[in-house]
Amino acid sequence: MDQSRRPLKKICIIGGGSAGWIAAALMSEHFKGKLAEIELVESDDIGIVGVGESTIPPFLQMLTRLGINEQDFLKEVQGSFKLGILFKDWKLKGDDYIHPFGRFGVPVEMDDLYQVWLRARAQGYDGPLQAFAAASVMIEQDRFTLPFKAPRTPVASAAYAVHIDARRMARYLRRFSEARGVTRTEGIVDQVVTRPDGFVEGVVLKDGRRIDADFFIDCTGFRALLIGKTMGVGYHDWSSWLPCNRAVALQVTNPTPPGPYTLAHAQDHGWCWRIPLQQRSGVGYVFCDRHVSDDEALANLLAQAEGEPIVDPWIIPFKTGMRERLWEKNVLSLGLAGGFIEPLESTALHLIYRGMDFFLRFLPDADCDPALIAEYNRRMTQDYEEIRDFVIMHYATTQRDDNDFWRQCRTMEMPESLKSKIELFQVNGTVREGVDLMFRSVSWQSVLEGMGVHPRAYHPLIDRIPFEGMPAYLDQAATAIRRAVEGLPRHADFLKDHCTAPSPDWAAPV
Amino acid sequence: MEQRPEDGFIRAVTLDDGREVEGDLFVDCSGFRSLLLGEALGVRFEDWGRWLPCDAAFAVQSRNRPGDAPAPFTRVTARSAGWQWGIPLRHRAGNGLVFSSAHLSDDQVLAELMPHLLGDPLTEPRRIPFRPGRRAQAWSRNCVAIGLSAGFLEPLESTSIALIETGVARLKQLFPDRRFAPAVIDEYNDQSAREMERVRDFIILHYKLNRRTDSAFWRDCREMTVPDTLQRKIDLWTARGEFVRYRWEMFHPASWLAIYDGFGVHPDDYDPAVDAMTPADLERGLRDMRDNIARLVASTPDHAQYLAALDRGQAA
Repeated sequence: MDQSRRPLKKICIIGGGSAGWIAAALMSEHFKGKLAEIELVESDDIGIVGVGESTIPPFLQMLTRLGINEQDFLKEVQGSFKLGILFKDWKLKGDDYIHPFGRFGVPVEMDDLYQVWLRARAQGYDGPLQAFAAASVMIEQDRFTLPFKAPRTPVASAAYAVHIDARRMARYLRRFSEARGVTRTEGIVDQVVTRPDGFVEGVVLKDGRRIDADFFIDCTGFRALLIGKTMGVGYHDWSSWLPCNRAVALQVTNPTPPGPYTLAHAQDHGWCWRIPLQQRSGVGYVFCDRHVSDDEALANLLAQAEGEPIVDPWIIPFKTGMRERLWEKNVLSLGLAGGFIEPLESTALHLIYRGMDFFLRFLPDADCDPALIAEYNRRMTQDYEEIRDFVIMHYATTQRDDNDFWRQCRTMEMPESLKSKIELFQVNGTVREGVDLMFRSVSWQSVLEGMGVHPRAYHPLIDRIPFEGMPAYLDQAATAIRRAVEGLPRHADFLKDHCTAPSPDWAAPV
Repeated sequence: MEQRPEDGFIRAVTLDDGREVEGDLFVDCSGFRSLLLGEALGVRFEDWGRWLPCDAAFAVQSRNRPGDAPAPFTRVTARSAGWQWGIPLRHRAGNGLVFSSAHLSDDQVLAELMPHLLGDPLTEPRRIPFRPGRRAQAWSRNCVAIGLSAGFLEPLESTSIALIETGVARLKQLFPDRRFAPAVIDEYNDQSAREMERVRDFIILHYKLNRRTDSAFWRDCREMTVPDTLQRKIDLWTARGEFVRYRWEMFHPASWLAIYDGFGVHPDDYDPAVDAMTPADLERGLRDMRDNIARLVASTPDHAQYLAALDRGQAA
């Protein structure tokens, strides 16, 4: 063993927001006050982007890992539940589908309900695939319960994530982190000081204070102050596949109770999101500035959004892609400083968590061994590219022909990795699964089916199954799921009983 | 063997008695010959000899000594330019020596092999030449090679049957119909190639880490340049005791750990987060683990008792 090890004594996080405070929370919990000292520098004068408010199920693992009580957390962050995403008008105008969380809730031989369904379809069965996904049925019926509270029922096969208020979450995690010894420093970084070997030595704030550390986490958002401006790490530009480069975001009141899903509604030149929290919704329009001006985009968003605006809209310009290296020397980039993929599949917060999860696994000493950095970068790049491909798929498989924007999406040259995946699926519904993949078969099957990409055949081995009773069995199973879901509370009622958030200021009676 | 003129697919094979067997899909299990995939369809062989210098083996069976219970493990002993195996069955044992013919003559091999059998010889030693490597595609047109016809790695980690199993499982998952979609074949070939390369790397590791100084063979092994995929693994291990994991790995971190540790190759550093534990907690945790294992092992029957119970139909 190397006796001259130099453990990190101090880690400095530059920037608050979701990335900064998730990093602070995870490190302070992981270090248990015994390893490195943690200081976070942020300024109330620099806003946060704050639109990453929709999550995927692994987000809840993060809460568990932090020892945070989920119910308590949801009360504090205006949280609501999410069983999947409703995609509207993506395949064709007027055509909807759901990407549900969880599994198909019907036990079948050979374990692949999708293949059994394909064969039944080939013989004239016409029941929809999503009738077998409990989460989709719950979304359609606006019902919710925690799946683990319904064991031995079809509902148990659903999985869920949450919608949260990003600013409240940052505040919550700030309290959490400060209670575990993290120092918060108010200030704006003016200058970054590097050593001759290119490592960052410290930062100088506008008021002249200097903060030195062994390691820096760049959470400065699109500014990418350390990883980009100081270290000069380049950026892989993915805009040839994902042409949207701007968003306008807004918060509105809830005219109707929040549904247990995120809405992704395709528009003429992009798409609108709606993320329903308990007492307001986050809405936004992701668009391409070659086709739409900011004013037009805002008008479009206001026309779409149900509810009254409660804040001024804000514009978020972005460039889809990622850093050539997310970690360079003693600087790790996290969140938007590292990369950006439009929030179509709600992966922004997940990538932050994943980035910290891997960082803690490969936690370096002060010398930052290149082997750790290389493996970190390889693994994280794999995740970014997988998400990129999954998001591109929603555009590339569209059948819309109503304007140039969608026609360009239809005819784009896909990344090779996605192309071969879709080709394999088209043969007989086979989905390539790997050890570390984020999106499982159900996700690919749901989205591809939803987009109208059908395999040419079912898997040949399905012909082993005696099939006479199968259509009737499928119908029974769908009925059992529907009945089980009908017995559940409405989503809004469940929220009220489980985790009512206190009324925020803007919702107080006038 | 007859190929269809339009696409080169195998239409039928003819047996030596003149009978013809037609098929839609041919599974080539013809061993090293790779009769269909290699010989008939001409799929190129990718040679891995630059990392795995052994190219032949002598195999010989031995009689079990009366009263000796077979050991519950395979024995592998390094020799001057290769290694010797001992695989104990209940009625006999398999023995053999895998070696580099560039370094040892057949006589030298037999002189190293025969004195160390697990019992008296039962058969004449048989010489098996081989070439480490694999067919560039395990599946071409309507022919899938399973087993040695797809490739060969010396049996140091007993992977031959496992590779047959995963090949069959993969064929089942990607089972074709008569259209033989290229996407399916590509996927099969990609998965097979990666899986076998990962096994290859694992076997190379055993050679690379040796510290023997008694022969040029072992010195050369130690100094060889290994594949990049393996070098990354060794680098990360050395830096911090972490494991690089690629797709389709057959061997899990525990296996890699056992080899590194067995060779005495330890990381320069450990996860700094471990410093958050007090030495006393750490020691207690390790002691508890060790004690639990020892207690469980003490209460299990020995191998001979277990086999006897199996014969009586009483094994759990």
